[in-house]
Amino acid sequence: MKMQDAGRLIASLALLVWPLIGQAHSFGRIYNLPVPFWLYAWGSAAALIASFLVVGIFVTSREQVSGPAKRDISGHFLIEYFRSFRLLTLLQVLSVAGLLLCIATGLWGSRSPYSNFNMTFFWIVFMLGYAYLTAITGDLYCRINPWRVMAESLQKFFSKFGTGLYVYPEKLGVWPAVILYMAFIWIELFGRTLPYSLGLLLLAYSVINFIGVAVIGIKSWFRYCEFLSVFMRLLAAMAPIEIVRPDDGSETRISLRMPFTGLIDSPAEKSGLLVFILFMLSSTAFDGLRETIVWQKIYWGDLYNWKIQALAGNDPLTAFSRASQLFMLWQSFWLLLSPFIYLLVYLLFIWLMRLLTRVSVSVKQLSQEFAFSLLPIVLVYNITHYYTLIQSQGVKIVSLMSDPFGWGWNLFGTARWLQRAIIPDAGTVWHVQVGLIVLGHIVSVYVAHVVALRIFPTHRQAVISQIPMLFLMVIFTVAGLWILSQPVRTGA
Amino acid sequence: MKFKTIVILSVGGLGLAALFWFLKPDYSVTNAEVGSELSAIESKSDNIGDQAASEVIRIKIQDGRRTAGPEIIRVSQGDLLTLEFTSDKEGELHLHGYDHKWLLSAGMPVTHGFIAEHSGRFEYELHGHHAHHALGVIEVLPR
Repeated sequence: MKMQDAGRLIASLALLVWPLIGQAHSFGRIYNLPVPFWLYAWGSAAALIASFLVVGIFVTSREQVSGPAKRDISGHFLIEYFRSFRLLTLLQVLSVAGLLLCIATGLWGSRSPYSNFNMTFFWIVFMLGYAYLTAITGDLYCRINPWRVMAESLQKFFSKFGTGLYVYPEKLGVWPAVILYMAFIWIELFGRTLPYSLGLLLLAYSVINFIGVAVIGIKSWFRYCEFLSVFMRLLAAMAPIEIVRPDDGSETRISLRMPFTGLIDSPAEKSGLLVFILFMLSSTAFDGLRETIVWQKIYWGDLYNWKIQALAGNDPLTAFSRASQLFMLWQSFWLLLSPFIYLLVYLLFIWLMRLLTRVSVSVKQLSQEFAFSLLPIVLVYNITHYYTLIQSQGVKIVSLMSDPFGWGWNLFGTARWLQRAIIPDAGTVWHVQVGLIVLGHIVSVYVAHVVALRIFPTHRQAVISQIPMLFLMVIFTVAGLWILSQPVRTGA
Repeated sequence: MKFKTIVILSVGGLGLAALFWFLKPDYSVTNAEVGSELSAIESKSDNIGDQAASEVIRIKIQDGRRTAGPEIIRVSQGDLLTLEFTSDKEGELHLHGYDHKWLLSAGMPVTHGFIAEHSGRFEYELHGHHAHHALGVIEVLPR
């Protein structure tokens, strides 16, 4: 066999066996068809047209933009009513119990991902369902975060525990959370977690949390380092309900506001927060992209012939596994680099904005001012990629609750419920996907305009500033649609 | 909201609706048209079987791999799909989503017919002695 033939054989072998190694998302099957071309074209056109409509409204409108209106409802009788029931305490207990159950079922329960409670509960009910809920109900997570609840309970007994040994250097910003979040997404996409490893992972993260709290104290740890707190806080900024937990320990304040107005007054001042937001966007995009044939071909086609073949050798027994290991490195490299690519693109457009408007504000400050306006796009990216998992797998939590360990229990009598596969209609999925992406785009464009009107001295500058911003958002949106429309790789 | 804003929004909304109506293909005409449109963006068009109803699709499996038959079987929702599998070893085929399980015995063609009632993209796997091999995909286009 000639060298080239052997290489070709290994490359085709790789394509054949590859699906054994990779899988979309961490858990659960997605039955979505790629969005058809005509709908992709409509979505892109709609995003573009809608952008100009928003511009049109702002150009012609001379109204002063007032600050986002809020109504404090902390003292409302309904809230008082819930308080009298100790609803919060109940939720806190459930949250801690949920975490402990996920660890316990992971360590001692069924090894099958589909019959163990923890995979469905953590990856789908919590990471998808609860996250989307947070964009509606606000940052309830700051009060029911299981690690925080446990740390605060411990603090009641050991008062020194929660205050920390060292003062957190605030100039580090949320970078620790960025690093933890990246590690988490890496495990989600490449870790192939199973119930047991997920149990261990949650246990390890609990230990990290306790060490973190012991070192820098509860407040700093959950503000700067615990990535799920940062993640939920960002999503909650879009919610029509604002939940603020004052630092002085006084009672939590709850207010109502228009949806998405929470994004207007929140510059991403903390160092690292912009990268965190961009990683939320880029990791979802990457997860979609890596499934596509286009992406697979870059490595297993072009790159393989060019370099990998030589690196992996020609022995058919070892070459494939070496090439696969290199592929893993290659994928990880792009995942971790992705937020910085987005950052580069983002900064380029912010720089253009500064150039066009001739303001004296620095690029850095402008980039912070507009960071939150990307969050609607972030949210719809995530929803469109994963929401069908809630429909097809998330609902199985009803039966799993009755048999969390997969030992054949039937605690609540629901163990046999919803056993049939639930397959979302592909046509509906397409329309929801494209509709949401366009909607998220419109909201982002709108929010960015309002921010511009607030920070630029003249109306003219504000309108001009949004030309580059608009292009940036159209790029993000069309890229998201394009990924959804790409044919995905097949088994064999 | 000012009158002008309402006018801009309604004109824009109507324009988008009209564009949607103009672009949306007529699914009721033929599946072949939609199929070919999808094939245009699909790079391996020779590996796709756009199936006419009631045609038997023959798939051969050797060493746990598909050696004959299309990689992507594409049908329309509601079509009758008839698959014939011939495997050199015994095993169990699992069609995800539909959750069909078919037993294969060595060397014997096994035929299965079913109506593709759910739209979506469904992989079928061979559950053998050591591994789960995804062999191919059935794509059911919505009506």
